[in-house]
Amino acid sequence: MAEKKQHIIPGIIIPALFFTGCLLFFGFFYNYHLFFTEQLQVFLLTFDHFTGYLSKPAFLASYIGDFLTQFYYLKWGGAVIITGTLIMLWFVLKVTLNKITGRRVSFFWPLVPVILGWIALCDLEYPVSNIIALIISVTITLIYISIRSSKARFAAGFILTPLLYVLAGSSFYILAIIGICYEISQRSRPGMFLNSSFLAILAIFVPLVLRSQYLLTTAQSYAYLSEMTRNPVIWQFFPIIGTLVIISLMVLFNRKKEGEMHSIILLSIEFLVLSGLLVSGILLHSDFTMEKILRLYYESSRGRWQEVCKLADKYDMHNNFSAYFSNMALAKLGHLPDELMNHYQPIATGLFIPVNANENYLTITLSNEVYWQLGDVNASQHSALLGSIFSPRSNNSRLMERLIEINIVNGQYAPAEKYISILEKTMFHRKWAEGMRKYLFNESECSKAEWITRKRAIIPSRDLLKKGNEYIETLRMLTDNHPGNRMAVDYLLCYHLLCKDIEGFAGDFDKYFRKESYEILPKVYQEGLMILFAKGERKPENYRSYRFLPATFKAMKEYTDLYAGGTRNRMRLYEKFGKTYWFYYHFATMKTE
Amino acid sequence: MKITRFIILSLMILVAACNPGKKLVQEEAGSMPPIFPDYTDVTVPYNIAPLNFRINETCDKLFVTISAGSKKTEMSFLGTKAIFPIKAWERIMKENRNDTIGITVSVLSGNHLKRYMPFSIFVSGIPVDRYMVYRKIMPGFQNWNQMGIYQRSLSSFSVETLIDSRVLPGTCMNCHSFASNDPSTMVFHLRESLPGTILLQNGKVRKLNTKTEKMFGAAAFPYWHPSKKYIAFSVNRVNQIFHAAGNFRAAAVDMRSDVFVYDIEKNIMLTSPALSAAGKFESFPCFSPDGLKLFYCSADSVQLPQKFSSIRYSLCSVSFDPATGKLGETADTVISCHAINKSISIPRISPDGRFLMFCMADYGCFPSYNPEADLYLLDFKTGKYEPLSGFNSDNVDSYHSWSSEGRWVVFTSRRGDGLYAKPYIGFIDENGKDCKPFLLPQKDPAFYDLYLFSYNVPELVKGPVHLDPYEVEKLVRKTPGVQVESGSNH
Repeated sequence: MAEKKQHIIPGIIIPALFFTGCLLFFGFFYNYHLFFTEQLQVFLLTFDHFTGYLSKPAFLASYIGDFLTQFYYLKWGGAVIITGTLIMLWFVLKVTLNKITGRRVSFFWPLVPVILGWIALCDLEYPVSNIIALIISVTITLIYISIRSSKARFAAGFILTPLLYVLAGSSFYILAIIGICYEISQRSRPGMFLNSSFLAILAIFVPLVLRSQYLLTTAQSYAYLSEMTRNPVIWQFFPIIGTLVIISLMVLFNRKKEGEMHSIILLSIEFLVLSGLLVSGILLHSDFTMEKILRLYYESSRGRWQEVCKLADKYDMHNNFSAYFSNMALAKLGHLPDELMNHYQPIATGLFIPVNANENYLTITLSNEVYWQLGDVNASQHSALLGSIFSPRSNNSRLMERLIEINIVNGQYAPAEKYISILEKTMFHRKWAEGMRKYLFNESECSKAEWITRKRAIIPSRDLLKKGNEYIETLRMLTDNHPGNRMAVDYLLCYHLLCKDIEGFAGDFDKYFRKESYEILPKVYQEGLMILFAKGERKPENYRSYRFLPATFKAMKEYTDLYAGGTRNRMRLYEKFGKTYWFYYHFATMKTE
Repeated sequence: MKITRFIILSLMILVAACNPGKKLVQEEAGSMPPIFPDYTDVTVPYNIAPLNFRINETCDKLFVTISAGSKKTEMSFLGTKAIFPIKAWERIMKENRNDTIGITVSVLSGNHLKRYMPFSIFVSGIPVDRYMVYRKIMPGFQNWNQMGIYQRSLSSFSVETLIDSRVLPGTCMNCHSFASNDPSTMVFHLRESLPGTILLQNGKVRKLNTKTEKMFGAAAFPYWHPSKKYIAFSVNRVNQIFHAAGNFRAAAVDMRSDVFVYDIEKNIMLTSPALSAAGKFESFPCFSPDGLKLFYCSADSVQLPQKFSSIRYSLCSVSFDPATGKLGETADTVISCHAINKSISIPRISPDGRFLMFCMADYGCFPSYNPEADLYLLDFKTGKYEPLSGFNSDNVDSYHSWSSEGRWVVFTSRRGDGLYAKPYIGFIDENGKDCKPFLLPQKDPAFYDLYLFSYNVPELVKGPVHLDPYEVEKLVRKTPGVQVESGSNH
């Protein structure tokens, strides 16, 4: 009895520890990845949506996986789904290994593929459906090896191998390879050669034969995981490879001996190996910088600008996405020209994310937000449509919501209605979509909604033909149309300053800056104008009506003295004036990619 | 115990369903039924797939009565969708060729039965070509992710893939064209990652590299000569620009364009000074059915993109000698843009040679971006042209294709949601009178509600196209293709 307990306790406690860790990891440390993953699909509860999955391999795994991915919308929903799926994988692996070995195997072996799955799931393009495919494949393999009759296994292999490819894609190799190993391990029995050769032939020819049904290239047909995993790379097969290696080894080198697994030393080693694998995998494979960026995106899309500023300060990341959200939040709060230099600025890519076919879907997805906030709803629409098109499934629920907002603001109710009808067929976006329906073809209802009236007040009324990514023309057009669009004015002037185009800044400052919108002249504008005064390109007396702070003049003098001192004063200059525009103007390097 | 429970439950459902306490209330709606697609008073070919529709109101059951002469066929459907059995539909259509059928729709909600006014459909005895070949693309400006060229049987709902981005990832496929609606003679282009022009002739597939030293780019918009020996192409350098305000999302600007004629047998590109004139843009070529004239659109070049909204194209023609491939050197202006202050694009001549259908917009030559773009018909017999008021809508109507017998036309329209182009099929009688077109029917009438792709360049063909996507893939990946040479300008 005591011996049994000794066996069961680590067999439950250690996996439980790992699964609790998994829940906490995805719930606390990786939840914004999961929120974003949910947005990368529009899962419709319709029959046609279901049948659409039949046009690709792994239809069952993909359908179940995508159905479950909807729950990532909920806080902790993703963490629970992932943990539950990994528990299920562990369970079927354990049952299979128990069946193969004829004994209760250590917790260690089934946990290896589970940990590889956990690591793989840290990537946006590795969906939970790949784990579901693994579960289906291992379950069907279990059925295969449970068949005693060699002839019946032959028949089962004939039916199950292509079926498994249809249900679970490339995970079907698990049945073929483990089936072969199993047949070899049964060498004393008849049919070993026939069955194993037959499985090998099926493994080679099933993708080749079925590829025309799915219209895949040869390479795609052999390596098809899921629609999300568009260009699979080797590490995305690690969970399958791990499963194959472990089960195959168990099949081929099965030891009937029991008892040695119980030693504390061995348990500790196993625990340490698993922990090492997990930690190194997460360190190598997870992307916590992206997690922070996605959190900034999440907060921005909800208009929580204070929170965005707070988080951007806390993270202090030096990348253009962080600067992009931080600048947007500062502009929304009216603090951009005062705090522009307080954080990292990657020249102008911190103001706009370029939208073109060379960018990946992630950057295009994030890029529409600033246009929407500025009031350039057509540019926002362009970027949102492209973001949807380039998403792995050519669909994005968040961007569809944005397209609804854009079309309502533009008074284009027909396309808005189409998108609303689509979202009304989803589980979690339905309520939001139903709430938007009241604005369709109803100007009186629109006029009561502040988000619509505020946006309509700043959208341009005079047309301008422009190429994509022409930021200055865009910002000038917005300010020309609505001189009171303070965010557009600040973006325009800051754009010039960040590009070190001090002449452009001066010209647009004179034309567009409205002092009545500001109590005192914002810090970065004071500093920019002082450079012009110092260069003699503008006369200070022309700007007397603006409120400069005397401290800025004093600081300018001090900065000039230190700067004149040459390289020996660089460190002092940085320490004292590192967050001034002067320092940026003199020392920031423009990199051309 | 379980069986007893099951019986009780079944009885309860039966009682609830019968609803014996309530009497059926009948009402005449006094209006046409609010159905989608709108099939009221349309003219359809007898060989069209069932015109399934849904009613735009909630109901438990839908009753449809199809009256033809003294014969009535009654059908009922659960829910809001009328999805006709294909065999029954075919029988009704065949029995009523060149006749009108009446359709009465009634809806049952609870114990309330509402009957709408009947509407009629004229069943033409002239069949439409059996297949429609089209490109499927998301309306995302110039960029794409998934796209392909497909064929749809017009008598059923089956769709087959001819070529798809799944087989050729990162490759754009466009400008498919057939010689006189013949499915065995096709040309289309591949661009970006695996470029080339694919020529299908009687089951043989070839890859061409169409850019010669006299051309500034590879061939674009094609049109076959009726002899199937020549293909006219325009060569275009297209940029995209965006509107900041209003409902125009984007515009395609032709920065430079010329027209060439490819002699298939000699593998040479021919042109004429009229078709590649300096200071002019020439685009959208189209041979007359007798093969003796080449029509095209031509505009004076302007500063682009600044003066984009002032660029207008005229309809012009040059002579063509099919025996020698000689093109005329002087252009005839058929309709001058200066006279009408509008821009003409996509000329397409009816197989009998009497009519020329074209698209007219305020400016530019890519009408899919101009909401005001409409279809017009030029009658060569009278020399007059008129808008096809039966076909046109308040949004883009463009990319039209004649069927082989010259009475049916398929075109795309952005009517409805204003964003996704859908295929409409319309009838034009021998005098050029157009009838109300109908939206290509789908098995599920709610199909278009959820469909996020545009139908692009629909072409009618007499039968199925036999093209193996893998053969094309192999061809473009493994062969360099046949280099087209420059021909003399005679």
